[in-house]
Amino acid sequence: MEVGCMVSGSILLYGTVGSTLNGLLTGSLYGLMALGLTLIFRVTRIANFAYAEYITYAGYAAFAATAALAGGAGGAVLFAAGLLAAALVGAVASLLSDELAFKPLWHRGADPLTLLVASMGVAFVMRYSLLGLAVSANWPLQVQPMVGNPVLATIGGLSYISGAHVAAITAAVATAAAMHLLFTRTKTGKAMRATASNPVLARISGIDIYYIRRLTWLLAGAIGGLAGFLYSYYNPLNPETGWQVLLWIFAAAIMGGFTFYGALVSGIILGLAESLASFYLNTFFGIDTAYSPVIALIALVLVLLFRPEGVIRLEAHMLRRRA
Amino acid sequence: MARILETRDLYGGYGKMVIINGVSIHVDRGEVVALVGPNGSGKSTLLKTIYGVAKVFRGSVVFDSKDVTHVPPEGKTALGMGFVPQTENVFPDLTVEENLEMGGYLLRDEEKLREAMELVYAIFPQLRDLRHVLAGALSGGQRKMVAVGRALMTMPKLLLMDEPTAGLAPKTALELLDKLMDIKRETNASILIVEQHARRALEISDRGYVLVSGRIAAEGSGREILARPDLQELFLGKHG
Repeated sequence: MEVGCMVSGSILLYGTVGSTLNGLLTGSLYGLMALGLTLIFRVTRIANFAYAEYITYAGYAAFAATAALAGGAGGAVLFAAGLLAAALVGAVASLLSDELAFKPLWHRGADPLTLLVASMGVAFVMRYSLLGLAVSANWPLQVQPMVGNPVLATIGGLSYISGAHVAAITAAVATAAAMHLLFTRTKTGKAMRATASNPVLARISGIDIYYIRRLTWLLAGAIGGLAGFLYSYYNPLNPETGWQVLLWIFAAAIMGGFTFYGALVSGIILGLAESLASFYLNTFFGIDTAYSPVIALIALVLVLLFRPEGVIRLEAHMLRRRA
Repeated sequence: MARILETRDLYGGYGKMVIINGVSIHVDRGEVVALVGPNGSGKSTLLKTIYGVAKVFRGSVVFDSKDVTHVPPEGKTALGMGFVPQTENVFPDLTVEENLEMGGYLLRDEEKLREAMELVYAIFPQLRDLRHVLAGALSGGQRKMVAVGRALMTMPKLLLMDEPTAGLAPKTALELLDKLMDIKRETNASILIVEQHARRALEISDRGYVLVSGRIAAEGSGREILARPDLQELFLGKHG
């Protein structure tokens, strides 16, 4: 009896540690992905469903780049190549979707709802083009960039900290901070906010709003690409990967009130809630871990119901402190 | 006197709707020119057409001896023009200081930006205390100061102003008009101003144009226009 208690106690401890680590990993990736979505929404007011596809395309680009180099190149080179290819393809996919679809519609006076529906159309075209290509070219059903995920530390022999953990958390925090600084401290970032706030007056002020717009899409796509690469680092990709995480990306962005730190914190909350709650519910009540998505979305609803201003206030506070 | 701005037989409007019907006006260097006329006569649209915010159908706009008819608004600002629109003339989601910074977006070095900002704060001392407040949270009068201040940041050679005093209390409006004259003296800018306080505007202007249904109905010195009884009835009686 005593022994049994000790074992379940250590399972609980290590399970908690492991779930926390996993929650931090997926959560910071949700947050990172939400940063790009937030950027597009803040500057162009488009709730962009096609954003998910930039992530998928970027993951595939990382796969292609690392597959081409694998064998000859070392781990660091493969990592850099995968990252660059992903960021580049994410940026280009993002820019092209604006140039070919969203900008022409916006020129014709499309409202945000029309643009949202258009973004779903763009998403479908991108997703099923990739699927078609994957099927016709006989690609494997799932792919993964050929970059090893080194285990950096193990805790109690059960849970571990990997390269993906460090990379994802670092990238998410650094990107959120960089975006916040861009928007509050730099001329270009302020011009992005000005363009969003009043595009006609932005032009009258001498701002080339088309340049600002292109920069916004490139940057958002590169962030999505970076996230797609890091996600595929520990998760095999298929043509629907982006679509499968889109709900969490939107959840994090909405919960974060479309602020950068808000998106980061919300992403991490969602990741932790999902991971920890499903572990506890499974351990204590035998509830299948397949329910974990429900938990994350319950967390979203609870936050929106009871503390809608909570996460946003964080950034408002930081803005005030600067002032 | 050399002309800083000239429109030649200008037609302008929105989409397919022609509102400005062959307007030829000019502003000389250092001049203050008032554009008056009844509501809906196209005063705002004329300014927007000149600046490239509304569509030019025909005719031309010449600024500083250059044909700028099809130069986009950002290009006109780069050439030395400035514009204070009547509505939506601030960035509500940016602070007062950021609004001014955006006004000086084209200034390349930080020092020039600071200098211009100091000048605006000297003209509108209130704005210095409000510099970290979002423009969207300001009162109507404060917002107009931001709108004018933003346009001053690049020290334009020509300033187009669309009813800078609209919606202000009469006293505040007159104070702002006096400020505008100070600005004119300090920066030596030429000004083309649309004003609801037509009488006051004509008094402070060198010349004026009366716009009716998108056409110039009369022109002359402020005094001449004010002296014409037919024009008085048309619009001055109601608004003066």
